[in-house]
Amino acid sequence: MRKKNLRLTEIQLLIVPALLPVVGMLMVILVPRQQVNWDAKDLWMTFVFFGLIIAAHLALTFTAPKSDQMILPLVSALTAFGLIMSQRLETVRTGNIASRQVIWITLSYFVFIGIMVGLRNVMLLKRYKYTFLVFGLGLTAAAALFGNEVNGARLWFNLGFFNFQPGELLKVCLVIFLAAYLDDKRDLLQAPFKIFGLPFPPLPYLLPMVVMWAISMGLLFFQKDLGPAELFFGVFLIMLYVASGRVWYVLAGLIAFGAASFVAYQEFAHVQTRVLAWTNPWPNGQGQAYQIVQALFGFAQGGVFGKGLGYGSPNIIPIVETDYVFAAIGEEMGLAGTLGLIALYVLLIYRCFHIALRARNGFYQFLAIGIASLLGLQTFIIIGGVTKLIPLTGMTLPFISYGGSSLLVNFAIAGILCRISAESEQT
Amino acid sequence: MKGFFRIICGLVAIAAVVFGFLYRPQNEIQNRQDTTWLLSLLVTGIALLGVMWVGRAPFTSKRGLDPEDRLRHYVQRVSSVLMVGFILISLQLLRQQVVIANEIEKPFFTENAEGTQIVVQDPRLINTTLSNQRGRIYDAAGNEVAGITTSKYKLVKRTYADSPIKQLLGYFSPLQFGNSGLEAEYDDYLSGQHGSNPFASLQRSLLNEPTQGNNLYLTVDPKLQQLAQDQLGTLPGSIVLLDGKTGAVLAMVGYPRFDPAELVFDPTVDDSEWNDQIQAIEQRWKALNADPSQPLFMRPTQGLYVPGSIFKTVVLSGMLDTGKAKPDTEWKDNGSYVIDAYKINDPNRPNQNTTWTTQQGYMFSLNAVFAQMGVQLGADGIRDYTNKFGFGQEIPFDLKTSPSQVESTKDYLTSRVAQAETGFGQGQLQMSPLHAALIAAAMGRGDGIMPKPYLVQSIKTPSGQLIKETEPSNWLQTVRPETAKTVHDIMVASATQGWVGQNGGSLPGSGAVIGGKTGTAELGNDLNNAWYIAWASKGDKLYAIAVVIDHRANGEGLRDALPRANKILSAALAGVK
Repeated sequence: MRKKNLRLTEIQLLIVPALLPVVGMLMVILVPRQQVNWDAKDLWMTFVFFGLIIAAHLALTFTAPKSDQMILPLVSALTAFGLIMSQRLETVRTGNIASRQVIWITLSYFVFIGIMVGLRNVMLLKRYKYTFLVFGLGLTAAAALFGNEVNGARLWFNLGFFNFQPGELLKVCLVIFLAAYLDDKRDLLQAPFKIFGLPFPPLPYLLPMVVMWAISMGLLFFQKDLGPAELFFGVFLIMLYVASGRVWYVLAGLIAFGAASFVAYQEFAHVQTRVLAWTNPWPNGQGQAYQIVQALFGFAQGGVFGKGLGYGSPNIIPIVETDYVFAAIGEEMGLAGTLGLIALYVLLIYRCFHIALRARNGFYQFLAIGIASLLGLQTFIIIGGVTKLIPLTGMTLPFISYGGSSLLVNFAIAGILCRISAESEQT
Repeated sequence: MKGFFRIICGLVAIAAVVFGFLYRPQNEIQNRQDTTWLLSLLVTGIALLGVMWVGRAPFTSKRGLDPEDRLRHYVQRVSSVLMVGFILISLQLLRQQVVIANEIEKPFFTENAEGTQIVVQDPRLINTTLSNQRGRIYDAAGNEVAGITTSKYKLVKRTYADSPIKQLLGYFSPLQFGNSGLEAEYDDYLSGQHGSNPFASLQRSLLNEPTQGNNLYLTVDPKLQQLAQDQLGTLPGSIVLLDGKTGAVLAMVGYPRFDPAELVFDPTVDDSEWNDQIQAIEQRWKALNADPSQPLFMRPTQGLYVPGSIFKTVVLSGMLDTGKAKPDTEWKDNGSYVIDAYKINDPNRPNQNTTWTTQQGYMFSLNAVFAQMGVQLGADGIRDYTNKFGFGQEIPFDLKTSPSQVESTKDYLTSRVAQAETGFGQGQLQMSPLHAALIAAAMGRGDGIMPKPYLVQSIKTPSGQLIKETEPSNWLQTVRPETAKTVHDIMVASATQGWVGQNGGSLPGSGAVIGGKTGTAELGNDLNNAWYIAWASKGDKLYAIAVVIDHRANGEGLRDALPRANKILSAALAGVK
């Protein structure tokens, strides 16, 4: 192999993520027993993770040597945090989430490698854009009709060994569709038609806008939760803005969404609870706002350097391993840990934009921008919710929260990004 | 122009953040709502957008740009929006984790929908409290009275030995009712906030080890304490035995009392039993509070009893000190004394004599004689000397004390009847048993100095390093030393030839010099307080004792208090060569 095809930057950057799960070993030695439900024999997870990183690196070296060298290290670092936290937060209540998470991480890396090997031409995705749209919507609708009901909303398929969440898949399907659609209709940008002097978007813009709004509202209605609707509509508005360059459309979309949110607030007690827990959680700290108040206590306990992994009590927070995993990190790793994680996310998102700007064609550009805004918005919404910056909405923290669907889909996204950059760098 | 606008926006953003960090509404609920902070964050966000959004425009006309440049420009704007979002999150984290972290951790008191008071508190702090390695408490013989056991989850339970001394410790209930007694007064040392090596504390906190408390070593002798407890039995009252020279408490018992072990929460049991346990403790707590006999009340130091004739010691001291009487001054007493048409009977005369010396008056506890002395001493004299003896002041002690009192209504003593009544120990007098023992000590020493009593001999770190050692010190100079010497001798006469002496108060065969005075305070309905105060000196040792049996039907100091004190003093003196 020629020297210039070696991905030396990536190897160097991978050292830290590969060593991160060693913290798991240190927990066994340093943390008093009983505080962590974690055993020396579980060290195999560390080595599995190590092997997966090498495998992914080799896959990139052989299939896409020129592709971006930062995506894999960043994604692996975040995943390593997820692995550590699932080991840390494993209790009698959660069951053996650490070993399950290892299985999901393994499958996710296989998906990543599979995309690197199998998806040699990303333009294939564009060809089947309507298939993706119908597939994503169909799956979500099926879940809404036949899925398992949790918190009054049908969002999951129970596949026996795990609960599959089609909403996660819908995110990617919609981003692919929107990127393809906007790229096709891009030239129509210059031809707004005017009604009563106001520049209205041309029909190809107006139509998807209305459709997206309808899909978001449908989600809002079925899930009785603003989170996914915020995410979908936000991603759509960003992509629309990048394609059209018109802030006016974005503002109009925001106003329409705001109106719908207000209606949802009036109608759904669930949404009202969430808003109350945001504006005034303390008087309800024993009741409806128990979770957020416990999370705030956790952050406050963390301070600058944290209590130390295994020395806090993050399990006081209900379902800490998924939505509230960031609070657990804040308690045990402190401000240093939380700001460090945010820096990792910011780097990842900006790398996506970087790939978008270097992309070979319009579809790739829109796809990368869509992926960037998807990751960015989701991270912002869940961290903002957990830190009481905005009302909380149930959502996973990309790459870190415990759970299979989210991890698999996020690794698929990372794979697509690497493929885009690989194709763009070929001359 | 654009540069100027960006600078303004940047300054606004910084100002809004600084304002948000510093501003605290006075109202606790508003402060916790963060409304002002979130608004200032909104201003910060908009201002930051102003900085990033405006400055990035590289073109004059949209049509003049090729699509690549245009896309680059839009992507920059989108990324700046996301960047602002993450900056706001970082600021929010900085505030929650550092700036107001201490305020968040404070318990928040509020009312729930039903209007009952609830407290929102970090359960992690409960864990910290429950894992504190609280200091142990030892008696003078080095036996552990209160200790701890640690569960496998490092939670700590307060344990008690089956020792009569545990009644002095107070309850330990940091999460439910707070602490009382020694557990409260020495909480700083017992919890380790005070006295610990700062480097060791820092090391423990860095290593996440629970804080370690310091140990108390008490002056209480377990054998004498056990004897005192047995002697008191289940009669309401108190017994206090002091080292008269130093003020060290050798025994101190009261009844009714409570067992602190009943109020201790045991975190070492399984979580599932916590709630039941808390309920049970709360039940017990309510029962103790509702109990009319007030078992939570620390009688030896906080109980106030009408002193009766033991107060004659103070009046005698005052009379001798002012020179208004000498030991051989003669007084008339034919069985009663009439003052301002108020007749005071004297049932205490041993024979029908009508003339008695001062010393005889004290020996036979003659009410008519001391009523006259009270009138002669007068309101000012009584106030002056009770003040010199520490009435009206809190006794400086390791436990909370109630001040003994002379008059409960102002200007009571201005009437001569009141002076006469006070003169033989009735009136509005109230005394604590500890105070009575201290008066005996001051006279027994012969120099009139009342020592400062203490219960805690020393405080040591768990590794045995001395933090604090109590040096005996003086509290009050009651009367001149010459007067005290005279009172000392009269008390000896009382204990050898007076009523006390005739009832075995001189402890023949013990080899000790003893001075003592009984008292029987009438409370009405034939209920009396039976008192005895005494001192016993042998070799270089001096013991001072006060016994009170309260609200005893037809109780008498000679019959109910004296024999109990004799047994305790004998036991104490037996240990002296």
